[in-house]
Amino acid sequence: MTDRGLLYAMGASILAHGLLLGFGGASHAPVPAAQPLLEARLVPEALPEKKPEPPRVAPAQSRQALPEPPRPVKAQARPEPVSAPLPRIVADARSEHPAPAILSAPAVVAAHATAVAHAPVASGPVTPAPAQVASAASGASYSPPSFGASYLDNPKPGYPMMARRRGLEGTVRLDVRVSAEGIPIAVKLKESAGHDSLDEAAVTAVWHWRFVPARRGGEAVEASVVVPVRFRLSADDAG
Amino acid sequence: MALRAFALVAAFVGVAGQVMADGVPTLDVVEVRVGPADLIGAAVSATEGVLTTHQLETRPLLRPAEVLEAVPGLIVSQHSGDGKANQYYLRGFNLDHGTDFATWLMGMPVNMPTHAHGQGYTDLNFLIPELVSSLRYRKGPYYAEEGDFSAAGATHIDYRRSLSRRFMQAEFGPHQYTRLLAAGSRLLPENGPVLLGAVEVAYNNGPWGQRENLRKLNAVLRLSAGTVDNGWSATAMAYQSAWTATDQVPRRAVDNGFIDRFGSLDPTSGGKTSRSSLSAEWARSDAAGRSRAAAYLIDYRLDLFSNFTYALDNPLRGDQFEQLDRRQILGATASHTWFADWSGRPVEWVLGSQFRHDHIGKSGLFLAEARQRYTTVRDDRVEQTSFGLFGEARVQWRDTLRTTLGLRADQYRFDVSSDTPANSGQAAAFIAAPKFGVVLGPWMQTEFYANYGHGFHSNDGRGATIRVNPDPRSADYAGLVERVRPLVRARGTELGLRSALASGWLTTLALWRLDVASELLFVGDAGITEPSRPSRRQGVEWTTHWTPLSGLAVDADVAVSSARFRVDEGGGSRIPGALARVASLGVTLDTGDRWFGGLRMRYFGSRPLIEDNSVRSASSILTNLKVGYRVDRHITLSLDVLNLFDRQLSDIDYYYESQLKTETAPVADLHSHPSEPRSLRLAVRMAL
Repeated sequence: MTDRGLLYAMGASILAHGLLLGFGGASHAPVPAAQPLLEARLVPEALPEKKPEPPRVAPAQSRQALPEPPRPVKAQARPEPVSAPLPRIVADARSEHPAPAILSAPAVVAAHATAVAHAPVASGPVTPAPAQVASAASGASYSPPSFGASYLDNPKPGYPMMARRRGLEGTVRLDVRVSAEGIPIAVKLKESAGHDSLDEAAVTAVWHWRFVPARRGGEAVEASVVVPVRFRLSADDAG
Repeated sequence: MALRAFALVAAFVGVAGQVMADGVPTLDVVEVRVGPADLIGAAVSATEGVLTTHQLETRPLLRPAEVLEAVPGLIVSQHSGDGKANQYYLRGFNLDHGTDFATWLMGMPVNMPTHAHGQGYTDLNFLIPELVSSLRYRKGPYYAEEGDFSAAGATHIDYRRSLSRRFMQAEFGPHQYTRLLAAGSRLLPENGPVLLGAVEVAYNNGPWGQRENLRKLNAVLRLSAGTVDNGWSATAMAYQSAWTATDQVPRRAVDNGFIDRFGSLDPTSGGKTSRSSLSAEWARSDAAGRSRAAAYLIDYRLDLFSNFTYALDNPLRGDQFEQLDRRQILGATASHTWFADWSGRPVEWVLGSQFRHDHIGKSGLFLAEARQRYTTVRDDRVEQTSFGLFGEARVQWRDTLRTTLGLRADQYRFDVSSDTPANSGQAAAFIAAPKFGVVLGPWMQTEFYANYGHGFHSNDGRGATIRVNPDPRSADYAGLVERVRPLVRARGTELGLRSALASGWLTTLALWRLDVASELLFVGDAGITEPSRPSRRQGVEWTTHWTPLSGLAVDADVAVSSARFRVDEGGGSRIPGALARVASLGVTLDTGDRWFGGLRMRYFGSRPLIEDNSVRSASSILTNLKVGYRVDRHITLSLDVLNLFDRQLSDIDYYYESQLKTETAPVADLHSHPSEPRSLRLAVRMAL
């Protein structure tokens, strides 16, 4: 009887050790690969039908394919500063960054609203920053789509029940084509979270979102934006 | 996993500032986060839950095991000295020291089968509440993973793997209560594992007429890497404690002024205990499945002197008896879950096993006088082995329907070598327990549950091989005794719901029934638990947790139950000590500012103390308060006011016959252990 117990015990111990050893060789959990973000291009004119872009090669082609006057202008204006203020505002609205722009947030968003509703040109003076000057000079300031004021009404994806039970986590990156009306017209998976259920949950939710459309000058235009959605299970409170 | 976590953080940081990815702007990360306590979509029953540090750390605590009172409807009390296992109550059970409630810490079982003092003895005095990271509880026998002692429920406590800051804490209270705790963790070089260490020293005399002289030493060392689901930990623990106990005293002795409320009738009651363990846990999860394994080695001793009847059996020398338990426990658990897809339906298959061997080198019951043994009642050596195998299938049939089907089989072997040869022998037992659960929902964050399951508790192995009564105190000394069934089946049914209709508000409701084939009862004059008649319990449990503002939480729960023997042998069908009503209300405030605190009220309903219900214990309401103040980055002060309104209550009551030295005949009386009067404990924490 004791011998039997001992046998059991040794078996268990061997098992435990074996598993431990096995772990030693396999500690690398799936690391979300930092993929090169090559695909997406900001193109002012639609081409929405062209969804299944051949990756990697496509950008160059599509760039060539766009015979658009504003392009060079946009290329100049693109150096971030222009796009910076808006996302900043988004962040402020969520009070993650205690930033100086807090006061301007509603104002700017309101300006967008009117700009979209009424007429071009109007938004120029409202947006601060030196970039504004540059873009004004070039005649067409550009700001990308954002969540804007409507962010709070955009429901977050639900955490899929199965994923939660199985402890699946990850970050999904979606390439969202936003119409001039601020409605998603195409939602593509740019980078998977590594689990279909998380990808699907993110795509489904984003399809129902409303965005503040991109603007060139005062005019709302269709454009693309990347929306990262991170699914996280907090296992325990950090010390 | 550490790598992965790092990658995630990097991704977040990189994105938060809004970057342009090749000309396409990337918006801020939208985080979808689910806490461990949010079980909608993941739970099997309405009465399981998870509590984390955040909810536990603002609870005022008189004793370490009171952490368990975070389990709705559970009461922790004490009828003796503070080195002894507490007395627990849950779901209409007087669980004695843990007969039907399984407690696990970091993969190690705390309950002791075939324990010298009481079956399933659960001594949690070695628990360091400040280190607890999570407490998962599951009530009812609906979980294939839970085996022995889990009919009323089970709880799994985990310690932290790291501390953000090292700290030293000193606590002071009345009656020389002193507690020092130092804890900290550090990352070993080169992204290596984390080492966590803690040392605790405590001293207390308590309000007792007879100074408790509790001396406690406790240490934990834990090496770990990764997380609970993807990582490993190895833990070494050591604990020892010695004390003088004030056991329950008869009402008449207090009423006639023989002793005062906090007086003792045997100044040499008490004991010493020690526990040390080595354990390891490992887990690995990916999209295909999850594996878990744990192994442990525990060395345990208890030498306990008690006297519950004073001078009934032996008017000359008194009724003190000694219970001695010395054992080593070796055990392991392993399980694997396969994440599968069954023609579009997510399915999880679980297969697991548990092994445990208790080498009980000495399990003794002796008669003693002033801690000197003079007669041996029993002196045994027991080898007890159990092996359990379980499987579970969880199927998500559709978005609003999922089921759990489980089966558990346990094999036990007992080998008893007794000083009374007739009582030596071997016994074996097998039990198979099916489990079934259905979950409907969620609809609008509301789920409905139906559960059915069998569970069991083991009986003392010495009872499984007994033949003659070895107790010279008893009337039928040396007479033939009936053996007990080694494994006792319990059968549970439950209907429940869980709802989070409004954000920040969670409520659960459950209607349950539990039949136990043979009740384990505490026998006051023998100081042991004894198997008895079959029983039925049924009840309703309601819990709610509300977070009206960030940092402010209110929780309330009510549990009402009835417990009856199913056979009336003439004396009535009430189960002594079974609690019928428990309620608690708690408010917690911690916004991260300087002030924080918690207030808790606990209603402990009246219990029948004998089968015919002619004697009942009084109900009680106990209020505890904690107020904390963060002086600066380093120093935190906190004050616990225990028994805030200084109510004269009893922690526990029994009704049985005893005899004082001045009496000539036994007297049936109420025996109580008083709750401690209002006491203030001040803690100073210095964090580095």
